[in-house]
Amino acid sequence: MGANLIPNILAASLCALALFISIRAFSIYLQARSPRIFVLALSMLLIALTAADNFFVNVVTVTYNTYWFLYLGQVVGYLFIFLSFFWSSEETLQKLIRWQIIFTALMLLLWILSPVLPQFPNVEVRATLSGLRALICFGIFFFYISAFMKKETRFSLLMGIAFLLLTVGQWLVFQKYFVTAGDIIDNIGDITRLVGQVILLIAVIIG
Amino acid sequence: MDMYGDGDSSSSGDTSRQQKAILAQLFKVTQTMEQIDQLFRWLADSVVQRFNIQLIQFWTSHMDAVGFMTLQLRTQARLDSTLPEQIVVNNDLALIAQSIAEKGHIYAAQPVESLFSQYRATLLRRYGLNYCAGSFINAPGLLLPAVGTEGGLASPFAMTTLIFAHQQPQPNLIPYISGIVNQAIIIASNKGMLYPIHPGQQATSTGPLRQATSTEPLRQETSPLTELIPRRRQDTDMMLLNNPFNSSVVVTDKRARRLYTAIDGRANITALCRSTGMNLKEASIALRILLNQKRIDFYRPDGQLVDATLLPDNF
Repeated sequence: MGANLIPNILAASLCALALFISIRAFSIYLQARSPRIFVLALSMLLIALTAADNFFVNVVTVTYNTYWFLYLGQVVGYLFIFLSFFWSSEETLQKLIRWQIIFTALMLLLWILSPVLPQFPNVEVRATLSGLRALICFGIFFFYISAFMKKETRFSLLMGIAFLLLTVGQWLVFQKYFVTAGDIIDNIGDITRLVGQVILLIAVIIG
Repeated sequence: MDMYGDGDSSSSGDTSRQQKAILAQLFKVTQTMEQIDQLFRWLADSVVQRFNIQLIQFWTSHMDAVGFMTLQLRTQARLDSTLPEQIVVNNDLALIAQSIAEKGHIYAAQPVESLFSQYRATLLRRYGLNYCAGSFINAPGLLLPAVGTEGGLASPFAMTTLIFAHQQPQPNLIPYISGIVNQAIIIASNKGMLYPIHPGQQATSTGPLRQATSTEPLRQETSPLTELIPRRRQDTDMMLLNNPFNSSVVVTDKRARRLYTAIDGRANITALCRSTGMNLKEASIALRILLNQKRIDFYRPDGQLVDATLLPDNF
């Protein structure tokens, strides 16, 4: 059992899940024309790309640092999903889409420029970028749980649990940079995120 | 005689006599009246005095400059002149008047608790307004806006009468008062206090207020409803509570979906008909589907949100 088994399973499953959601969301957007659906579709596409890249660098050893793209790409992806819950006006959401397209393009540029990007200057920078994902996922969890408090639907409950587990998992991964038993914490965090992704899939299929 | 009068529990015979007395006077006083507001004023004062009810209000149809019909308080009379205005002129009473107009029939007297919120009912009871009843009438004629009202168009006549009493009224009180009001409106119509509907316009028939909006206003040549701007509704809670991947997200009706796609938040109904190639009838059906599914809201050209419940079923 290699050291990268759990991270590889996590990366592959996140890539598959995010891609599935993205494709489904794009196909619904073509008919429904809902800006929020578009935001979800593009965010999930970006997250799928970061996961695919993560899987690739785990399997094939590369000398350059793609973690800038991985962390920032996921931050941007989750952030725009989070922001889409703030506004209800069509006009504001259309503006949000424009910004999302710009930022996604910037992330792709970052990915392309990975071979020339420097390594992280220190562990704090890396930890901060990694931890930002937990913060944003917590924000998304908050929206779903607030909605569940107003009206108890299965979908909002499952999504709330999923994002809670993603938050906790990413928070544990953040902790690994500051504790001695970092690898164990990392694995627990990855497993927690994996369970969160499974619940996310269940929510999207039967929620 | 106490503040609330001693006639609220008057017998059925008394009520009948009072009605006949008012009707007899009605024929006389209207000989010299020219304005319908004079008639409303006299009617309200007479009903309050004769039947010893605390408050009577006449809510009449009012059409604003862009053709939207609402109910406005036209006239009221109080037995107790010290009754504060804000107690009896507020949105809660307007909503009750609207509700009676939509149901289109006589509303028997009920304790205020069954009609209003706890807060409003407590306030009303404090001033002896313990029971509320109402009735609705419409007639084939146009009512001019009240003197001093800015803007507004002549609107198809429709009126809700709201009555408040201290004690439970006799069961036949409301029908008697409704009969008086009906007779008054017939007289008003015969005397030309209600303007005739233009031959090209659709006459109103007995029915709730909303149907009256199908009549074209006196001064406009095109339907102002076509100037409304539909905008897509983005409900955050819907996205959070319901799976966006289930079939309810997609508009199933083909025409409604085509129209929904064309909505850009700036084009009015006329422009949308042009861009989609739909005629007004098809567009109105599609818009009604989208409205019922809570996918769109309507806005006036000045950006104000339109109360969708005031829109006719087929615009």
